[in-house]
Amino acid sequence: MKLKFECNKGIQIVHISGKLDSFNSQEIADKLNSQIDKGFFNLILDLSKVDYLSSMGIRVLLTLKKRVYRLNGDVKLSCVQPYPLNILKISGFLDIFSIYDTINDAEKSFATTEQIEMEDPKNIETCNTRIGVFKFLKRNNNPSKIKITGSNIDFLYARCSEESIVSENLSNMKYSLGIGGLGEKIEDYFNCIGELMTIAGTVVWVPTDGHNIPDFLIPMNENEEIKIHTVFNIALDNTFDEIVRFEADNQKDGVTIDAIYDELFSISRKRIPDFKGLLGLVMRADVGAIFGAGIKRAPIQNNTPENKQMITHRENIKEWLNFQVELEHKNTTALIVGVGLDYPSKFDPSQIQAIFNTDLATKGSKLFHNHAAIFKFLPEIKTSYQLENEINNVFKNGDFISMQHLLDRSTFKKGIIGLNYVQEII
Amino acid sequence: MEKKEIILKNKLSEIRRISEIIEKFCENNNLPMRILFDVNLSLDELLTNIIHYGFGDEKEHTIIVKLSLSENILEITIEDDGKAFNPLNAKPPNLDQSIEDKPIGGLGIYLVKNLMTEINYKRLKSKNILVLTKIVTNNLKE
Repeated sequence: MKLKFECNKGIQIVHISGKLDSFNSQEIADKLNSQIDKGFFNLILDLSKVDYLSSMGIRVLLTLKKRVYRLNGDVKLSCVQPYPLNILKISGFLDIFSIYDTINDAEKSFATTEQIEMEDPKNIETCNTRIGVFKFLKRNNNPSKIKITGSNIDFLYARCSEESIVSENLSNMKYSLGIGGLGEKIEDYFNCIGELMTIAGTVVWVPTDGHNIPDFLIPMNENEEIKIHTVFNIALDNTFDEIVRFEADNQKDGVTIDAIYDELFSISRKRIPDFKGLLGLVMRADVGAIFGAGIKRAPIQNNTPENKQMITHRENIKEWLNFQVELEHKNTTALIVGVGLDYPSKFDPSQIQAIFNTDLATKGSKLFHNHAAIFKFLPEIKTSYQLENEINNVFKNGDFISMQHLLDRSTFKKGIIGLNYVQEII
Repeated sequence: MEKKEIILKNKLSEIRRISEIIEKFCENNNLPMRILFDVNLSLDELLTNIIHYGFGDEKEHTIIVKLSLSENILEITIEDDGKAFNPLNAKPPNLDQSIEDKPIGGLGIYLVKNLMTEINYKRLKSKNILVLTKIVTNNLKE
């Protein structure tokens, strides 16, 4: 059993060779703990020369991970060999440890904003605007899609039937917003379907049962398939084209969500040659204040308004929608999933109708549809481009307040944004 | 039919010794690496348990491990004169907990159950007798 230490940019890389068995485990634990005592909370264990792992070895890794976790650090594994990998899998520890193919990949996953920017400033593009600074980190080049299921017409006229329900695996809807419910049997949720969103695979749902108390569902293990049931839903891709950091000039009050979209539209028109006018957005943001709305009743046949008009009709709106009269939830943290449409766009009016159900878009109006889960203020773990990490941290450590449909006047001070330049609506 | 009997003392260093014996045994009988790993890991887990918790005293004890291979069936018997303990009754770990709650107890035996084809336990004449069976295949997924 040999351990070799190498420090790179504050991350301690430990090359282990030999067996991680009961015989060796105490010695390894002692040596790794002494690294933490020296102040190294971010470690990468290079396991390319470890071909054997027993439960004692797992115990060492787990104890180490728990200790640095409490110190805001992390332990990542790289080059895990087939046999130890299988043992981690059988024992249910695969999703507990972050595992990377190479040391380099593991190092990158630790990188903070400053490191990425210093390491390769070519990857970051900074845009100064009249409302604040946007910094773009390129991610993938696959054309993005938005997937629409169900019908917003049936929803807006409150005439959904049990047949309107579309059930979809949560794993296909990592980021989405819509109207629906959770439950095994249709009678469990149909009469109280309400606003629903999925963020990084966690579901937040506000049943319209009069209590206005949201349900949370965090899948504990990735093998478990969870179904979500919606009558209308907009799903973004599971990955983003770019990750953007935004910081408003006005740090006291922040800037409105429609102003943020507006700047993103004009930047996109300059930077993205095939931009079609539609953005998918996921944001973890420091909130200035929230202006929200929510649906009060289930939009189903039993509840169809007597005048057969939309639930947003002036005669129906009071009964159907909760409108916030004042700004609320000042200085909180929000997780947002939404779409924004610029004018003009390259999509058909019929496709736009399927998302926004209005002909305003063809008359020159920009349109937005966003849902937000709001939490007591929680600072970011670090100033980084790791959106999913930050979202998961909010679910793990944040105090949830409410979930709402965002009105355009809501303001935000800064955030990490996952952006998709939508090429196709399906 | 290939047979071997190994006599161990209740010391952790003996696990190293037996793993080398198993390695030779597998080599002599052309058993795949995968089998060697599974058997060594299972013995590591079970012997560690016995040596740590099996004996209520500080005395020297003997643990007997017997190997037999016929056709494609490998049988491993572990005999000790410690306290009666049937590992098959150990509670399985909850695999779905988050990192902070994740317990570690019971994991070793859970692994053995997964790696071996069959496990049988009996208590006979104040001895724990545990028989592990492993069907030898060349299939990596097995």
